[in-house]
Amino acid sequence: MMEPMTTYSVYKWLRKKRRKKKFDLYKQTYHMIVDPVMVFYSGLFVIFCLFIGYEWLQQLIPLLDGRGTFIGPYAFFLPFLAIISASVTSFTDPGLRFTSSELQLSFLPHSRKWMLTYLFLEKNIFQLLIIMVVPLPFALILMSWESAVLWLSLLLFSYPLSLWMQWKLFSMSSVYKMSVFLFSAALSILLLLGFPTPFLYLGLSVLVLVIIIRKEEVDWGRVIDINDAHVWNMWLVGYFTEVNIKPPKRFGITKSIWRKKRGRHYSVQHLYGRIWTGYLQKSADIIWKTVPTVCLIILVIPLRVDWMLVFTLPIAIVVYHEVAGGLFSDVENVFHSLPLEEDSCKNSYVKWAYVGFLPVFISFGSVQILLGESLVVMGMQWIAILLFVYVDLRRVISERLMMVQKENFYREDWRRVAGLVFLGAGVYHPLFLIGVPLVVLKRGRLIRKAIIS
Amino acid sequence: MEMVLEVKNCSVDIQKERILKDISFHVRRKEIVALVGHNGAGKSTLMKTMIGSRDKLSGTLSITGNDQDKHYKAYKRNFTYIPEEPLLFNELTVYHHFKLYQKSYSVPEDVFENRVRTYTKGFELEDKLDEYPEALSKGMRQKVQTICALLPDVPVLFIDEPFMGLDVYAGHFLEEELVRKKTQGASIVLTTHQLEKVSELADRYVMLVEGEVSSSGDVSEFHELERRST
Repeated sequence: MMEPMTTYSVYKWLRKKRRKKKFDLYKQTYHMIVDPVMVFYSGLFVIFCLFIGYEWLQQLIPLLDGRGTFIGPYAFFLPFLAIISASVTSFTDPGLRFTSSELQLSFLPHSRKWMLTYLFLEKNIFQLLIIMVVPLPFALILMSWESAVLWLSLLLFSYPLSLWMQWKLFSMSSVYKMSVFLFSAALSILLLLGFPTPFLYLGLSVLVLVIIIRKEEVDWGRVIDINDAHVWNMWLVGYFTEVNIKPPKRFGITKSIWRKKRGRHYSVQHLYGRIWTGYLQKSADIIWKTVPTVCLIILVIPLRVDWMLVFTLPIAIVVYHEVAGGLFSDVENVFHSLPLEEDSCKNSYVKWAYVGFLPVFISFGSVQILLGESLVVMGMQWIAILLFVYVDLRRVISERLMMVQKENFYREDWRRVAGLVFLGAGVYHPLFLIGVPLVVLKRGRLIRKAIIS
Repeated sequence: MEMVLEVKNCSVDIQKERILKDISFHVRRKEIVALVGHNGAGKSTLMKTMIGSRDKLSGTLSITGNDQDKHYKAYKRNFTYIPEEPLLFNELTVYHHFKLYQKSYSVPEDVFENRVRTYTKGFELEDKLDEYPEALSKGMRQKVQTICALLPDVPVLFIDEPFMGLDVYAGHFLEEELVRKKTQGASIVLTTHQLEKVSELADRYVMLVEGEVSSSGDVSEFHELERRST
């Protein structure tokens, strides 16, 4: 008689098949989008950057050697941070990638509990390897070996704790998650204020114990929906093939908040706003990558070479507007085959796009303060940026909608470029900022005409 | 009779593979046309092309003279669509969905309220108006999607597998409603694997085999599906 397969061997086999399928999908996408010449030159560029990085690191190491010792005692924060992080992420993510495939396996003679254990161990081993490769060498360079060992051991303890807490909290109520967050945050503040560490660790142990004792039914449906979306929605593949294998669903803190708002008397703009909010939540990956990147473009480079702000400000604005426009272009998929009420559709989206620009705006203000710019000049620059972003973002969104609706329109790109040049030059000398309203306001009128015609 | 939907020489490629080849047919006013074919014949691709969610390689599509490429907005206002799998918004309750369709197709308030009452009663959804899609069963979600598409008066109604997931009573109610819509002047294009429904409901059929129209005509001439040549 044939020996039945063990749960571990089936689990391993499933994971192998999943990796293979994902690899094949990436390979297909790679063949579809990648130009070999571009890859060759990009490779050369990366090698060149590695050489520069190596030289830079060699110069930096003697400067940093031993200077990280002062962060040694902060290692005691790690378990608190682990719980804080677990309680925050548990609103939207169970942490362990238990998908519908694992669920189906559990209907066969394989234990769900064991599969969860394998997932847990696999993730921890993987994390351990990452710790060995990335933070460990840095810790050894930056700190004394005692501090490095302390950090490392607490890190190795905190990660599994965080993962386990996240899994447990995921199926608990929002009140529970919030309470855990507040309690662990309070403990870490007390640690910062110099309260005795053993007492605070005792408090943390009580918290963990309460979670252990509390038996909560796992919300398998929600776990599977989220994990399927995580595992199969490969951003790169989805972006280029316009196919999402498993549509991500909106699950999170806002779900419970929205559930309470069940009024029937909503305007169409309000309904559009709700749909866009859901879509933006699904696109959180792109947003979380874009906004910090754009902020970094504005913040990091000018702090090293101040005049670079002349270039980084327009670049950051263009990148942000293009990404916002790109996300909006998905409007047909978002609203399926519905005819669109254009103004409501645009206005409800643009509102969020403006909100998303706020961190970029604040980054610009911060860097100007750090660079010692005068308040009057900063005020002028802020007004010019606000004016430009207000008009240009709306224009980008209108253009994208017209493209989607297969309408003909005239793109006045030279005016946009001129506006950006004036903005950049305005960083060099505020007098150039006068050009911004001239270009922008004129353009506003022309766009309205173009749209009407 | 007046021609409402016209599909002319449409070809569609998916990942460099020709899925639809030179498809042509038309649908007249007050007519129900069934798209039939085996699995993978191209029915759903054709449906998606007709609603504009898939780009075509060549050919033209028009509804009441509005070309899909030249007058896209007008084209879209002239049809509603019931997909095989309900496409509901997680962010909206059942009633919000109806409201969205009302606003999108400018359905007058009194007509809207009246229809919501009739349809929610017919589909037994009266007590689900304030529920979100995740709280509904698949069949109920399908009913919501169906009501959304039935609310506006549009020249063409596209339906992909209309009876999939509906219980007997809901299926019967939908059948009656489709016939009523037809007599009021609407044209309906549907795909189905339930061949008895084709002969019961449709006036004409268009048979697809491997992405091509293999035959079409009066539904009385339709007997069985052609097998794909493997």
